[in-house]
Amino acid sequence: MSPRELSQIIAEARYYNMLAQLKPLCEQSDIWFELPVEFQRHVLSAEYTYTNQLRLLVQEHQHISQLFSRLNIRWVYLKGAAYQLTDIRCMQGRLMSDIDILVPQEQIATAEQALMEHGWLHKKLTDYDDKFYRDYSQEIPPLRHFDRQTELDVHFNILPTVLNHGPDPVTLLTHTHMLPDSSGAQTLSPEAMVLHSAIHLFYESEFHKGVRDLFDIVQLIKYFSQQPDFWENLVRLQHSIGNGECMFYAIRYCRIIYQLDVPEDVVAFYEQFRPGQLVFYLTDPAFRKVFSSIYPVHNDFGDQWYLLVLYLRGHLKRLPFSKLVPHLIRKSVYRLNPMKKDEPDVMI
Amino acid sequence: MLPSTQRYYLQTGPFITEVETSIPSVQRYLKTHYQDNLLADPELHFIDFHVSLVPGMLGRRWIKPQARFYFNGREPFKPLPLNQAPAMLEWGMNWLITNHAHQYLIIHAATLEKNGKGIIISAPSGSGKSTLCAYLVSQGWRLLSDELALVCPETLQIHGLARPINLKNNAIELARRFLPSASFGEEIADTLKGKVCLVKPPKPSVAKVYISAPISRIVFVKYSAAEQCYVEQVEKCEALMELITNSFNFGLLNQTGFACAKQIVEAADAIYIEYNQLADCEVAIRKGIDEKDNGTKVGRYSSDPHDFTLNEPS
Repeated sequence: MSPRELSQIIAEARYYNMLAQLKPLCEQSDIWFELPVEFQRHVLSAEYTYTNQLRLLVQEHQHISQLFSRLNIRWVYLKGAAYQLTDIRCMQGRLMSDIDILVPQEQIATAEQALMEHGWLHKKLTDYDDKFYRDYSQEIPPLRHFDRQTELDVHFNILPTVLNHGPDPVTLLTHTHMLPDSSGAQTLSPEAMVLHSAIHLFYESEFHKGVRDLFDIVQLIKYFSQQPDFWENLVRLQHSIGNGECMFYAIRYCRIIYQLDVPEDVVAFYEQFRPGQLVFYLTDPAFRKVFSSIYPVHNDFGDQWYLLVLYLRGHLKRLPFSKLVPHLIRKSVYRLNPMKKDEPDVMI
Repeated sequence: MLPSTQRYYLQTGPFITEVETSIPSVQRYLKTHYQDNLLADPELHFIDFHVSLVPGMLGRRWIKPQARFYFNGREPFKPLPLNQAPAMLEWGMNWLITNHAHQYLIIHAATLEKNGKGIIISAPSGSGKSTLCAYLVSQGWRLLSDELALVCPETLQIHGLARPINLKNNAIELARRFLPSASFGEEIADTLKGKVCLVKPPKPSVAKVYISAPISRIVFVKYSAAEQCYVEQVEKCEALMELITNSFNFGLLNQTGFACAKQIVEAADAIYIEYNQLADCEVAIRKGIDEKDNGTKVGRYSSDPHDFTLNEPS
């Protein structure tokens, strides 16, 4: 490979926030030591970031455990935090942007109160944003610890509350495992974790990290399907949780892009969730594009169309039309007002 | 007519950055200030960072025109007024390093080398670090970096960037007295840090940028109108705390960061200088402090910066 091609790989992996994952992947393929040092050092730099994130996660986990176990609050780690705390080996190097937890609806107020008393503060928000989070979305406004600067997303639902077809969080809360460290914390069971990732991915409207998110699902399935009853449990949970279309898509692109092995009967089962011809015709090429590469230099002019299709699809799926239009108008008016922007990142 | 987009490949010490820009002031800036760093054959090199600087969109081209900085297809900063574009590039490149080069312990400090000895000059903003850095460069010190000390945790060597020195406000006029006028860029008024001027490093610094240097001295400085030159030895533990406070990625590097910072202060001696005479300050940096005195006020030298002649250390 030419130096130019190698630097493109670094740039693209950085774009998806996957740089640190390159090391275990290159080691598995036995090519790590053949790579030039210029390439390696970017991956190693990201590995430092990853190791530091793990350290911070463990630290936050202790703080949260102390706080919640005293108040008998039940909490489940989701996504990145769960992958790391359950020590799923193939998720080594996967960076996260914040810590996500799911708390039962009836304990949300207690949990929020306790967190705020212990230094977790809401980022500055407009009243509209605050109301939007609590009434329409699936989480309370994001929290950040005033001293440690770590970010925490507390979810009370799987998908935005305004959707009446979202999966019932109570169902997912019955599919959990305790973390082995006796902290009282839980993570989702394998089949619930996979379904949760798939539902999240296919309710997105922006796919900047789509490559990474689909790869998460591939890695999870590869890892969990070593257990004999994984597929059976997945299909069983699918019946009670709904949103089968998400898993249909997930399996489809895991197979197409990563040649993932999925049992024939599972593929056949998910065929029933294939969307209608028109929707499929619009979304399929768009998904193929965003899951192979949307790094800007690989984009052609026509690719903007795909991104637009998925942007609209995501928004329509997340918000009913009557809520969506006022929301987008408010957001665009807000964006035009330069006084209300966030503080810029610090520059030296 | 809109200016055409150009690509430049800057080799600055260990990093090669691709800069794509259509902003004429940036193009001019790169041609003058990075003349000796531009790579002719980018295809043969591994590119560390892909950056682009573009003018603002639509209306923002004419009304209060803006410059926007993109890294790897994303925009990490808010746009700045167009006239600040060259400074924005420099700040952006600093940000790239402090966020993406954790192979180094990165300290907010100036680094220079003379006779194979490296120094780290650490000081809070506005205490004359860049001015002193510019002055030392005029006195034949080799510039490694005016903002970022890159220390390799394995070898404890400092790596240079040899990028332009960022002078602010009064320091600009002061530095015109001792640095060649051709090395000064266009002055940029009204930035977040006041007036800014970027000064091109001397050719030898750029040519030898790949030579790293061991750290022999850590210098904490403060400009003080009332003190001509006051020098004091700094305890190792204090020096360590200062390095840690001024480091960008100490926490992130965790044990590696601590081990590195600790070894730096063990191997180098540390001094604190309060000065109003640059020349005296330079002498103090070279000679260190008078061992005979017991750490109280020592090292009062007097000389005019213009008459200052360089003595090679024995």
